[in-house]
Amino acid sequence: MNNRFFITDSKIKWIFLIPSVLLLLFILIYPLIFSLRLSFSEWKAGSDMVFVGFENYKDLFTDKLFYTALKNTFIFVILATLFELIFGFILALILNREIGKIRNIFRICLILPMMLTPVVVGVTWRMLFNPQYGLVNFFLNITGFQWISNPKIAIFSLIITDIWEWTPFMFIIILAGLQSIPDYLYESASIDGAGTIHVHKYITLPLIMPTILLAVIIRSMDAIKVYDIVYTLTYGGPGSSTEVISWYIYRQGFTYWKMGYAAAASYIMLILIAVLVMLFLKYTNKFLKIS
Amino acid sequence: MKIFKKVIFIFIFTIFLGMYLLPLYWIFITAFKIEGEVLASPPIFLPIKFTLDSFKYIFLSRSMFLFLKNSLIISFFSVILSMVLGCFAAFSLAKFKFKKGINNFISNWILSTKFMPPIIIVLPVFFLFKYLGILDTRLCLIIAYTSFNLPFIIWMMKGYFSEIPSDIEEAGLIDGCGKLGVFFRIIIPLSLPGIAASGIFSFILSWNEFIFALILTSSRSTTLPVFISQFITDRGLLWGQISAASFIALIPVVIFAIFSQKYIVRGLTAGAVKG
Repeated sequence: MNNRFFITDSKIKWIFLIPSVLLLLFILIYPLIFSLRLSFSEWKAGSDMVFVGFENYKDLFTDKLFYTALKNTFIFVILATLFELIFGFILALILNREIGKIRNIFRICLILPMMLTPVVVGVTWRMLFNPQYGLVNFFLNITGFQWISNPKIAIFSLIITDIWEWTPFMFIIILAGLQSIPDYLYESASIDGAGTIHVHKYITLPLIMPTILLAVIIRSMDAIKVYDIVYTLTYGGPGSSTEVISWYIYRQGFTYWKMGYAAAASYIMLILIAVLVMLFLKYTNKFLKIS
Repeated sequence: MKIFKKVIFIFIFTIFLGMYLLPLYWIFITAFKIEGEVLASPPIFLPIKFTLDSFKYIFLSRSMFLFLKNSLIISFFSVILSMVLGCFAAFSLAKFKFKKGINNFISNWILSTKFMPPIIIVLPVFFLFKYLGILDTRLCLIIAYTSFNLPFIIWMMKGYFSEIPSDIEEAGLIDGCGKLGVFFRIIIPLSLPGIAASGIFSFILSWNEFIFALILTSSRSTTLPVFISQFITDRGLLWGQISAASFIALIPVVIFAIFSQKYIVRGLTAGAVKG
């Protein structure tokens, strides 16, 4: 059978696979190894890489700005994901039954913000947040409220922008989950005389939980990486009030050229994300087994 | 009671749509406003006079055309390259048997690249490309974008290929097609909608990408998002021109989003839903 083909089965599958694997090794894996070495070294422009052991990591853990960046990232991720979930869930519940006819128009309008260039989203909201002629102050009927230049408010402006951009994502995923719940469950519940709150508590919530967990994992992992809207909306300021972890690494690396230091911070970020992903997956698996 | 519900529904619906369409409308209208009306307070929602001054300025004085060209070339070639490599790899993973662990290992690897923050990759890649002497060329962004589109495309296409029943392939083999013939004459034509959808999705991802473009390119070969971000740092008050540039950057995104809306949800959740 095999000699009918000019390349045998076992070779062709590797020939097809290997170019992709090589490219990914070259761009995604080799850099990580290089970066690990860099994180244990000091490297100044024009000189060789000098091995310094855990010096970079030690400096990092005594740097107040690094803790600020971690804190801001956590505030951002938790608040943004939480509000996106709440708004998305409420909207999906309200619109679940009614959405039939207008679904297509609605879907286009909701998918647009997720596809927009994040840089443009940041720029647009910078315009909307402007204290004198921005639309936000105009609609709230207040003049001169500083959204971006007030250090206490700036991170919340960032969160509002992210909520605007990504609530539709939560909404669409949760709506898909809601619509996969079979109608007969609701019918039998209403025959048994269950009220709205009971129906949601005992039917909707348990059945929708896996979907919600999934959406939360995807969103929070994306939110940790936030960078584009920080660059265009607040530029990390005022002061260090919107200093998030990606921004911190960027500044240390490409503004102050402390490459070893930036690589060390990258590795801390990587470990944090890996731990979070593992916790999420472990929790999700446990939960899915129970339900 | 029913009317009451309907009114609430329409009310929420309108507010929600307004919140999303108004900012888009605002970019659009600001791009065409005359200079005095851009900074007007209270804001002007329906300007009477329109002008193309902002567009003229960004194309003639800020060489917008170069960046538009860069963006188009880089996104286009990275999509083509990653599509070709990715389809072959996905075919191999979907239709051939590997040793037990390999399929799972590669799938998990792809999952993990989805969680990888770009800022962590871009730092060492900067030195790699500096060493190769290709910093600030279109080539370096094409290579970078191809490699981060690739895991996504392999994942998506693997799903589409697995859905094709193996009866069809066997029929092809019996008729004397050969493995390559099966791939080019049966698998590829049958999964064209999937190919189009993942192609469009990765085009949008490349088009929107910012960190890699910001760090790996500076002047000659940089893309539209970097161009727009430069506006805001050096001359923060030229909203007309920023809006005009943003408006142009959004055109392909909006067109593609409308045409491929059905597939985009699948794309957004790719890598998280095992499939």
